[in-house]
Amino acid sequence: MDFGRALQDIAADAERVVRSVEIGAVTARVRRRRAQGVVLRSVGGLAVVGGLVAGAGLVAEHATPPPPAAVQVTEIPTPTPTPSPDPAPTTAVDGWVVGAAPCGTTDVPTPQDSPYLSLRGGLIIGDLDPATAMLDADPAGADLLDLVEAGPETPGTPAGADGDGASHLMTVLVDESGTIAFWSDPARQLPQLRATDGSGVLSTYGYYPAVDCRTGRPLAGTYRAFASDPSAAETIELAPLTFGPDGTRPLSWNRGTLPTCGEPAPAALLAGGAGADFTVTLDPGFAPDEARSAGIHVPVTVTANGPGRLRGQVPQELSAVLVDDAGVVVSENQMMGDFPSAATFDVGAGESFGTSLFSWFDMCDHLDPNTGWAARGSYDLYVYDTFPAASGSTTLTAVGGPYRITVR
Amino acid sequence: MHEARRRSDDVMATVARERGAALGAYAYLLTGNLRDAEDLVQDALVKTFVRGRRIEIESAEGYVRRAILSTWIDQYRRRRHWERVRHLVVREERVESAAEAVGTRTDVQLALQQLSPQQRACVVLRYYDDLTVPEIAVRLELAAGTVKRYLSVAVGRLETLLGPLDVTEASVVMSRHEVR
Repeated sequence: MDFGRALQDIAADAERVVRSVEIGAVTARVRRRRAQGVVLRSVGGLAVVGGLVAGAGLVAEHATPPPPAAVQVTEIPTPTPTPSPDPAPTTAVDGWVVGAAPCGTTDVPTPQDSPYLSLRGGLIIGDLDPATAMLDADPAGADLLDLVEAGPETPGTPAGADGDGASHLMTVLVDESGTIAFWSDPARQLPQLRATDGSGVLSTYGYYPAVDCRTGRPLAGTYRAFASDPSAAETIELAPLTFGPDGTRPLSWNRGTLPTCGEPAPAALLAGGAGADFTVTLDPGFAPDEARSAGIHVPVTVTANGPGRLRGQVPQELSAVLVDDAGVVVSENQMMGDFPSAATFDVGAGESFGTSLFSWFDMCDHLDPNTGWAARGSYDLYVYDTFPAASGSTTLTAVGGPYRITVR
Repeated sequence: MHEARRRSDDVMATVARERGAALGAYAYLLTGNLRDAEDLVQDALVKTFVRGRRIEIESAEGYVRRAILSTWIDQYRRRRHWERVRHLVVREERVESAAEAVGTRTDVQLALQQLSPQQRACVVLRYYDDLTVPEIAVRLELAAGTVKRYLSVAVGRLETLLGPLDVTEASVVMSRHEVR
């Protein structure tokens, strides 16, 4: 099918039947708006980084399959919210309208894995800077940025419930009593704003006041966090969130020498797991016909190489890159370990935990900037990712492969 | 100031009169509904010209097209909430008669409706406006990799419904015997 021609035909047909613009009505609206003035709230925000957009965007993915039985795995405790030292009053702020359901209910979604949809991401506490339209991360901040997003279970496949491409994503925070104290209510979302410093930055979607939906008072203490799409039967538990001066800060770490598009693969990558903190192995049950042209999703086992014990939060997923026969990196690695899961690891040499490899084959622009597809042929797939240790001062590296794949 | 706004209003009226139908068609590719497309064009015109900036007539249509895109994606997020309260608002319903039916490519139109707004926007920009991935990334304020992902998912979905399209897609097979 000549798809471009089909679109032109549709547009041509629509042009014949669409009603004329009511110029008088539009002019009146414009003049009315000018008279009212434009109110810009100053809220900071995170610029659209890497296309991370909260809400109905179809990008993200998350799955934590159980590890193979033969591998030692440390117990991963379920985080328990701790009561805040100064519990917020339960009475509502004057004039506060209690949020719509599921606010205040105990209808906490149960983790489940959809065959079509996957979720990834997290929440960041901070304050929006109106000048830059960027978020100043601060666990004592007044705003909450929802960076959870939905995407296909496997790159290149239809996402949503039954592959219908739709997402009804919702994130919730649950207090120590098991009651929903916050959810991503569209009615509460802050408006999108343009930076006032002239940079042209537009704040991303997904900002909310960091207040308890039941009372309007600032969120305080620790909450369990969940992201859910009930229509697709997909729910994941996110890393818990603690509000307050000693609360949750977004993870940051030294990403080291990344595999770079068009450059020779770094020695650390070619050495495989040797020299890395962890060796990553793909699920031995992975079948070749599960691989798709757009990317890969497969359970993996992450094994500590030692010495000593390593602790931290299990990353929601790991990424991979493709290397051609000349040893040149031919795919990008944009989404490396940005968000932790709710699980933690505490492993010594030879001990393991499970997570997922989820990676789009974003082919480098020097190959074909328009399609993003890999040229036909064979490549070596390397798992490569970094994430912080619990100390926050150490970056851990996980490497796996090479695995030979063939693009047909 | 008043003179500048008057000129701006004149440009808006000219664009609406001479390019309104084409803009409506463009909006229809995104919305799949004539009434929504007409509303979207009006919203985009207001958004473009409300500040009374000096916009040359030659470039005005481009500004309005950009506003159509951004408004469409923005409205989708709010529409999810709107649909819960829509029954409370009386709204003129326009019944599309056979004479107003848009063309015969219902298969493609139905397939487009299966895409998310971001996917649909990327598809329209790529295969109707013939923009490159980097250009789409700039237009939608996304990373190029994100645009590629949207296109990948969208094309996959469209091909499931329509059969092969004239776009290149390669399949990847991992050789069982070559797994180390």
